[in-house]
Amino acid sequence: MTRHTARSVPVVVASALALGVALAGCADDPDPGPDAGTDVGGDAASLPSELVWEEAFDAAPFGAFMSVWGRTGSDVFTVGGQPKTSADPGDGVVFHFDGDTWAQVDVPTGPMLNWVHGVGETVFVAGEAGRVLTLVDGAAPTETTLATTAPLWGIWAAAEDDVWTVGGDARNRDGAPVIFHFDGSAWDEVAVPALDRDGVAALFKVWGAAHDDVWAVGMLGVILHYDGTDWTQVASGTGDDLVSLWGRASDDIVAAGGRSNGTVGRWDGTAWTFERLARVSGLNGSWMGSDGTVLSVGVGGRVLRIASGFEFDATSTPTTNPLHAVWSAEGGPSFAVGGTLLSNPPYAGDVLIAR
Amino acid sequence: MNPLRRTALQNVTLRLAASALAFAACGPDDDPDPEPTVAEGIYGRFGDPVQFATTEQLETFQRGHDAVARVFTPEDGLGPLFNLASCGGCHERPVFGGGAARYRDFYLSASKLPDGSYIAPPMAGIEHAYGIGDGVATRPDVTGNWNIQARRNPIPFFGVGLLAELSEESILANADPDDLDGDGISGRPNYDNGFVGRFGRKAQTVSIEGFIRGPLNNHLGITSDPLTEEQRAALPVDSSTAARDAAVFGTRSGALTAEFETRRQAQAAPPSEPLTDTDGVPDPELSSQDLFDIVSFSMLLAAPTPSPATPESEHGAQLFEEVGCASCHVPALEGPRGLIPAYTDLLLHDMGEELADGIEMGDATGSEFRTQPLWGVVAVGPYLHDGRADTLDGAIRWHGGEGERSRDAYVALSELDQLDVVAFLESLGGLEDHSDGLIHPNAPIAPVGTLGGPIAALDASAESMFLEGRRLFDRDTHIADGLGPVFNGDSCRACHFEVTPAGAGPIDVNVMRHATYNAATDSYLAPPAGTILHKLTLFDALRVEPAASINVFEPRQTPHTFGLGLIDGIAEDTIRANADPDDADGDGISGRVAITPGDRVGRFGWKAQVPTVREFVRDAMGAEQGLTSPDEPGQTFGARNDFDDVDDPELSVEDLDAVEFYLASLAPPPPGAGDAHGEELFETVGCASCHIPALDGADGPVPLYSDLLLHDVAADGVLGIPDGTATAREFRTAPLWGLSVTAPYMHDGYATTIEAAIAAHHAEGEASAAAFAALADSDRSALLAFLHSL
Repeated sequence: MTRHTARSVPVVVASALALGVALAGCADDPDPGPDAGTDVGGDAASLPSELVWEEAFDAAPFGAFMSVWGRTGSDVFTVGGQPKTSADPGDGVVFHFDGDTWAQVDVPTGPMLNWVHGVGETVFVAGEAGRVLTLVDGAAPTETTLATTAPLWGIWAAAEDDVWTVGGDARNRDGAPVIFHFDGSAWDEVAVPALDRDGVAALFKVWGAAHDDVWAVGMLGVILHYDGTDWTQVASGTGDDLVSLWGRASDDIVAAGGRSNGTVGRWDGTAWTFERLARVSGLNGSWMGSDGTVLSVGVGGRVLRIASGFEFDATSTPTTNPLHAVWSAEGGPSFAVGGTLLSNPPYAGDVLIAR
Repeated sequence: MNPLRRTALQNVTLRLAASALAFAACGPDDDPDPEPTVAEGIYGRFGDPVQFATTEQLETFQRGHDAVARVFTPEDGLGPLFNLASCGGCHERPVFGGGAARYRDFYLSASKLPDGSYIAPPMAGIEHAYGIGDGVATRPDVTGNWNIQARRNPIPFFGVGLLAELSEESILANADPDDLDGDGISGRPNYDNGFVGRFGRKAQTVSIEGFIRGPLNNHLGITSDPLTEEQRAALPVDSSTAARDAAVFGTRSGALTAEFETRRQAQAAPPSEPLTDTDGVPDPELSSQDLFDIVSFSMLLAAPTPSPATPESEHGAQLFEEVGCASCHVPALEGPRGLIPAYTDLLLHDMGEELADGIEMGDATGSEFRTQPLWGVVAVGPYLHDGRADTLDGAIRWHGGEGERSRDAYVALSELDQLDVVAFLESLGGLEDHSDGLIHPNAPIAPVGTLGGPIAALDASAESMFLEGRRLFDRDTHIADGLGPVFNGDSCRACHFEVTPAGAGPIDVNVMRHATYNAATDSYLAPPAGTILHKLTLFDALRVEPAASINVFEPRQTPHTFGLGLIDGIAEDTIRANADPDDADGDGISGRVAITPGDRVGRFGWKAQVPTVREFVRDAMGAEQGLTSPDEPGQTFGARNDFDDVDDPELSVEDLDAVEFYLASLAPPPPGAGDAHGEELFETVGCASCHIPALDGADGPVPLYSDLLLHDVAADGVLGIPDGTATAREFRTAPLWGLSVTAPYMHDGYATTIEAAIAAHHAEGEASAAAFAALADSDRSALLAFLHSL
């Protein structure tokens, strides 16, 4: 059990906000990419034994933050904003951390952005109403609107010409999940396989161990796998909503979700095993380091650290708002983001860092 | 079951049984480690607030009571899918805060897949009886390929604030998930948002706020936002995050452990998100203040006062312990105010295959249920999660699984001993509130000429007959009486209760008709079992679903029954005299006589499909409750036999006589002060063409404001259900007497106001509706005042 005293230490670099793009890639510790082998899930080794969380900057004015990801600990992106409502067109925001300063990235106007992932010099961001942003180092961001009005909840890039995004309108009981693939020139919708359960209106995240070993999770415990040719459904044994997944190898992947009660699942290369964590509310984000350490975040603003199996330590943070995503660099720093997602918009965000 | 814990609680049981109420508080100065006593000020009559409520809380309690009673309309946001229109609809017995009879039962569905996945459909899997999307009424389908369907009887919530105050430790002290003590009783907690669950049949919910917002949305389609932090802090049970944080961080800081989290303030469970729907009414549809008041009302409801002990109940209490009931129905849990004698451990227990419903909630499996609190149990039947037990004795006999050993021990008792156990259960509060209906058996007859009272004074014999008819009209029909196998209500009063028994019914007791319309032939095909699509079945049967070919649904609102005897006395020729089926006078109003079997004139029902009060009773008893009637010469309607386990006929001639007499004796609604100008306008705009002010009756004019004829008043394109000789678009002119106390209006009850009802008149009624709309404001007001006076 790690124990920390919750502290509130704002690290606000106001002068950096609202500046233009400053996306110089850091070549110190590049993501090896999915084709480099199976050890591709994250770029972190052992984290500090104690994670002390503090506010990275005053994120409240910018809406809720939905996702955080980086190439290294000094090249990190977080995305979020305000959703589109009947009274507001919404406002998607992107921030970049260079290891010292958080700077808002100037991106095309549009509603909330939900997830970020990148490969090489390119960063992909998925958002509401089928919007996808592409951020390339040294170039102005571009936006593509895919052939869906549904939110895109997850995006994962195996390569700059091999990108997956998934989504769906989870509140529309008659809706259907969507999968799109980018081949370097165009986004094409890919058919979702027939599912063994009714009511699945959305896939929430996609992640891969390799270009031919890609996973997607979504509502009601649905899990899909892509083998390089086809998407097929894989038995999960759970009906809980699965909100995120991450891994470090083709035989070591973690998924997290649940609503009233947190659920964690593990893939060992053969089968998924899920366990409901009685003392934990619903989980949203998850990340796995190269040593197998799992961080997961969710309702209540706490961070779970799972060393192995399903045994966890829970660490408090400066916020009790829901945290939606977590990501860590090699040996740290670690980042967790979220906001007032269980209230009506406009949202107030949280961006946390543990060094 | 923790044996040490149990020993102490056994003492509590005996003490409760011995003195029922009188537990002198033990001052802390007298004894450094005093034995806990029953919390002070927690008792009251059903529906009373706890005695320690502050003046401000009492005001909130009253507002909350009123909010619970509020009947929502489509304009308020009811729907688009719903089972009922008010909180009180499901929590009315014996007063608001209680449970309900079987007519408020509902269904849950889910799927269990081969890989073990349990799939809960949207809205917690609750199936809906009514849908009003896009202005079209439907019986919403059981969506998806679900392979589990379960039944629920509404759950009472007296004393929930006292249960909310319990620490998690007090609940977990009785947990023995692996049955380490080998007593055959395990008991494990359920969890919700990381807290020990304590509310719901499966202890699936921890927060009272959540337990109100969820059903409001799932059963009424009413959306709400979570309470604010400030509101939560002001609730009778502090539910603020600050309270939680004080508990979490007050003594230790930093990392949390599972053990440590048990100290958290459970009511501060994280809020669920704002709820929305698609009915076009701006969300949230429930105001924040109303939600606060309802949550406060719930938290302040007192526990029902136990009855004074009797030798029988004392003996029963002893047997209750001896046969092992108290292993799960733990007599009391210790809360911050003292012992809370709810007779539950709030834990999950496997109740065996016979009671298993397949519904999984949180960690609860399909055969696990929370130990139901027993305080006030006698007044909140029927019993068990699906209301399958008519009696307490029956409920005990249904216990299986972990309860099997105790059940067998109970069954092995002598009959007198069993009666003593039941007497003990009846002593746990609510005995004086127990009733098989809404009218207390000793309630006097309403005065002559008032709603619910007779037309004229009754002699002793007639009074006896009236009371028996009223009793039969009001009483719950039990499974043992012949209820079902399919039904819409389990009493006459289940549908006819606004504003008093025998009155009208809200739209959440509408009867759904259905059929298949063939546009090519402009014809309707009724389902083999008839056009009524029953809402409910007995507990061991699936819901009745419409065939795939069904494409027309027609809800029919429950009309009041006041003055039926006077209508019964109107001569057929009087009704025929106003008929003008071919509109020979060219006034745009036709009016056809409804003809029923035997060439008799129909006069009752939305389609005038029933000719006499007697046959109305036979028809409703069979069609709505599943009660079979004996053959009677000259009488049509009524079911002769059915397929339940009760011998037919389930009603006697004497039963029918009594109910018929009661209904035929009911006075018409008393008129109020009229509005002469409005009455004149009623004539001039053409209302009186169909709503003829009076027809000659057996004893003089009958001022019912109807011609009892069939008219086409449907909008273009509307498809209805034919009935008897009435076409799909024709309806009997609805009598208007009692209009102001018999809302909602029109055949489907979807007109909430009289103005809306007038606007809903089309075809033969369109000219009058247009004339009304064209009136000056003052004239419209005068006409409405006149209508209200009827």
